[in-house]
Amino acid sequence: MIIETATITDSKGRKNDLSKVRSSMGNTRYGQKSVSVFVSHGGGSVYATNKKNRFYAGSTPCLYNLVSTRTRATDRGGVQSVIYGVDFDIRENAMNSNKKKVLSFKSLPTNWNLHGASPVSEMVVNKACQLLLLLGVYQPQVFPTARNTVQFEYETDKGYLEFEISEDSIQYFKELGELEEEGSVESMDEVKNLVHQFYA
Amino acid sequence: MHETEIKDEEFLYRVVKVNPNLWKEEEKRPSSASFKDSFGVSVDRQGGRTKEKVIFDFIERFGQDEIKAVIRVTAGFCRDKGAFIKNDINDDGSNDNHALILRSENEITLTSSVARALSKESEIVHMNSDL
Repeated sequence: MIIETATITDSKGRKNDLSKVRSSMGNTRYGQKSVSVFVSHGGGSVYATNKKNRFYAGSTPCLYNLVSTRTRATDRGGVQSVIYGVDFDIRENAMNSNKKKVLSFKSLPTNWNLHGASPVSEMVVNKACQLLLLLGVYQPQVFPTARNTVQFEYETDKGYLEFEISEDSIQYFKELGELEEEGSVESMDEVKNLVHQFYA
Repeated sequence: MHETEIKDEEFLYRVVKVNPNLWKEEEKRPSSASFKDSFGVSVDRQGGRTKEKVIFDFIERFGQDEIKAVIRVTAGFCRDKGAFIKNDINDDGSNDNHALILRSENEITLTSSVARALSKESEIVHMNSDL
């Protein structure tokens, strides 16, 4: 279960750790009408909102992408929305979803890019999957390239970070404002450090 | 038949396929991964055609359902980034507008920096929102 810095702040500024929300599923009521839930990936925030207030759930790379709500009639005849909790299995879901995508890259048909590309090799796919596991909550967007590599991308308002995983190396490219930096990393742990620095 | 010389102001068009997904929905542009190719980045020159005709030709060749988007950049922008553009007319004569964007005259694959620049500069000229 990944909670980290995530909290929900209600309209009175009270902060609730998401684990508490989770543990009181069905009991955390904000008394708001028409609460809806928005989701953003890659550094955005999750928040539940009505027209007046937003209830934020932190701003770490957002993997809390399932917040279920129910509306029900109150004793006074109004409508009350209840946040039933955040699915903390999402980290796993996002990772699994990425893993599934990356695994599919080795089954791409020959000429998948209409310009003679081959599927991504098993070695690259396995390496990319290992890295996804290591990155935990910081799941990237994943893409195949037509040069037998898998690309991981992080993009926020702050900048852009990319890793290109090949059979014999991992290259990175970083863009922060006008500044660009590229190079190769020596280990998977270094990838993790670069990602942490990016979000620091 | 177009002129052989590719002028800086000429547009180079590229198809972004539906599968695999190389489109970044939130950023509304292709991933730079779509500009990383061992054989060079395959593009179609404007070749004296209208934008609509270029799109029509792509759809006719690849099928509407295969195309997520068609994007374009100018040859001049690619050259500003140090890339080299080479005419690459198909051997069977099926596409005399075909060209390749290469890292340089002697190297094929683009650097991450140039691939990223192309993805950011891409102008969307056709988008299949249903896919």
